[in-house]
Amino acid sequence: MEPLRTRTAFSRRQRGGFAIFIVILVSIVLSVFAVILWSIESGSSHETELIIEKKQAEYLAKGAQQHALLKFRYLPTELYDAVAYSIGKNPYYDFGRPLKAGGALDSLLNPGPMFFTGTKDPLTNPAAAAVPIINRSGDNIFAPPSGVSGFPSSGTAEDQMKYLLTFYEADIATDYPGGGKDDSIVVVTSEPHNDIAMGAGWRDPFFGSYVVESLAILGLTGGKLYDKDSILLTTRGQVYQVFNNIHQISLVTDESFGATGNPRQLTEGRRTTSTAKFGAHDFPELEQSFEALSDYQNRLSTARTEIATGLYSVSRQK
Amino acid sequence: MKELRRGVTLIEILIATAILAAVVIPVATFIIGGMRRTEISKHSAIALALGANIMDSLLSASVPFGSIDPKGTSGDGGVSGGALPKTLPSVANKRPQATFKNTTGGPPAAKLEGILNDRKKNDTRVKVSEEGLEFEVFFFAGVYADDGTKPAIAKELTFCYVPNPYVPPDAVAANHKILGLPASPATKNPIDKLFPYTRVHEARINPPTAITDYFPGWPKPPAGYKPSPGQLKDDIKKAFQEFDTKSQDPVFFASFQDQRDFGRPNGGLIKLVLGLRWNPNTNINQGVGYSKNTRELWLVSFKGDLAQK
Repeated sequence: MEPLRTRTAFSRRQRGGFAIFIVILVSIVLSVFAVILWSIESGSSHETELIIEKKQAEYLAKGAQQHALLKFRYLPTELYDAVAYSIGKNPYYDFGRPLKAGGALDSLLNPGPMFFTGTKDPLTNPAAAAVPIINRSGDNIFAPPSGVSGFPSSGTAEDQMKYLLTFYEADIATDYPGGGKDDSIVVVTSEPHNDIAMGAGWRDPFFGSYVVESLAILGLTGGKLYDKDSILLTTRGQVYQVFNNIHQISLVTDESFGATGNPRQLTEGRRTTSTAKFGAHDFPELEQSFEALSDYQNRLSTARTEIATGLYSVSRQK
Repeated sequence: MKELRRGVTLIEILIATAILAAVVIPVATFIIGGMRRTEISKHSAIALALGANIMDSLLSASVPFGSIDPKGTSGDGGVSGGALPKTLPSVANKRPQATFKNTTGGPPAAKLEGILNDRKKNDTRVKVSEEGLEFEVFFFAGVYADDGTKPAIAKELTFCYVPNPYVPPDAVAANHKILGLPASPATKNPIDKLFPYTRVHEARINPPTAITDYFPGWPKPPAGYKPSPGQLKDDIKKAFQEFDTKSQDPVFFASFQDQRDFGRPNGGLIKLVLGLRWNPNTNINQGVGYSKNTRELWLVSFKGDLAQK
């Protein structure tokens, strides 16, 4: 009966331990699936927090648009003159009068649509043929008065042509005029401060700012109108998770989730990352690591920026 | 001969069960954790969409500037700031929430309150998302009001600009009649230094006698204003002056308009602060208190009074 015993023994060795093999296989598959799921969820929650910060910056940029529109409404002529000057356009040009009909005097009385074109000062050189005040592409010709702060003292003539516009844009911003929370009008900071709008001891939920990024005239070359024009206003909003140790805070919830203590900080914690790898005995392992402290601090102090744009028509009304 | 068929031994079952338990329990933990994180992210995304909708409504023309009551004293919308949750004591000493008020020709305050409140309760504002999730809403506002009759650039919102002066066109004779200065162009008189980049020639040939002749668009001077050349020079300088806040040196070429000049003594710009609070594990209506799972979202923006007057 030798062959039977041999076959039985062989069959038993063939079939022994097969359940364990299947369980191990299933376990590996489940582990990999769980790690993938974990990694995906970690990434999406981080993205949500980033989107929230950018949305906060977006609404500051939109608030800047409202601030600018308010000023445009009340100072439209000053806006028109400022944008006209910035491109060398004469805001007073009168189409009804011929150019140079009266000779040199007339060229001064009605210098034409563009007066930032030449190099000669007519007041010192009345016989100058060009109608000119500044060479737009050249260097500064006229020395600015000394000791006058805010007046551009260097740069190209084109830079200096923009100084009316620079002044016009300057106060459409947070942290103006002083630059800090104690000597500025519009301020967004979670530090306690005397807010002009909200009162003494106010704290905003976060530190942020807005400013006019650019105010550009959109007239086409050769097709500009001389009593009105289109401008593109671009404003920028910025928000920080942490700025100079100023965290994002809740205005209504304290650290103990009550309503009487210090404001709860809403700053995101350090992130954990999970990576799958094959460890000892080729079993899958989940390795978790905390975000490095320096990376964490760097991430929190990085500004989130958003831009808002608007197209508006402006005309001279005086 | 029949082949003997062997089943799984008890030891195999025990070992397999132990391995399965050792793997499945952590895996289940990962999966449950992942589902919880998904839920949190989903709630955050819904809160963000809801907050953005509310803020867009507040910034739009459908909510008139004058309808917002920053101090929350008006109960026209069915709620008053006194009854709603206030800020913490350490934040402006319990500032009340803003409410809405009825205005002539404007939408009813009750309708505007619906932007912030679905539950019609007067002790808290609750918005319910399309998914049936509840969010507590907080709305604070403040106006940058006029501070007085004169522009105070450090205390109130003012509008800075550079006027557009011009030089009288009497340049053929090289006779600058402004300020009674010498005629010769070769002397490079101060008018060049004051306004070298802003000269615009206007067809006026009469000698200027009033400050508005020099600066078109300026407010009219008081009746009877007939300054001497020296006084006119000083008045021009004063009108142009802005004081640098640090050095106190005058900054030429800048002027400031006060909101009062535009008929806005109550202010033309308002700060809006919107907050949402929720608990991913429960709804507010169930009366469960807030815990470490509570999440919050805050947005800040500004609204201008852009209505025609």
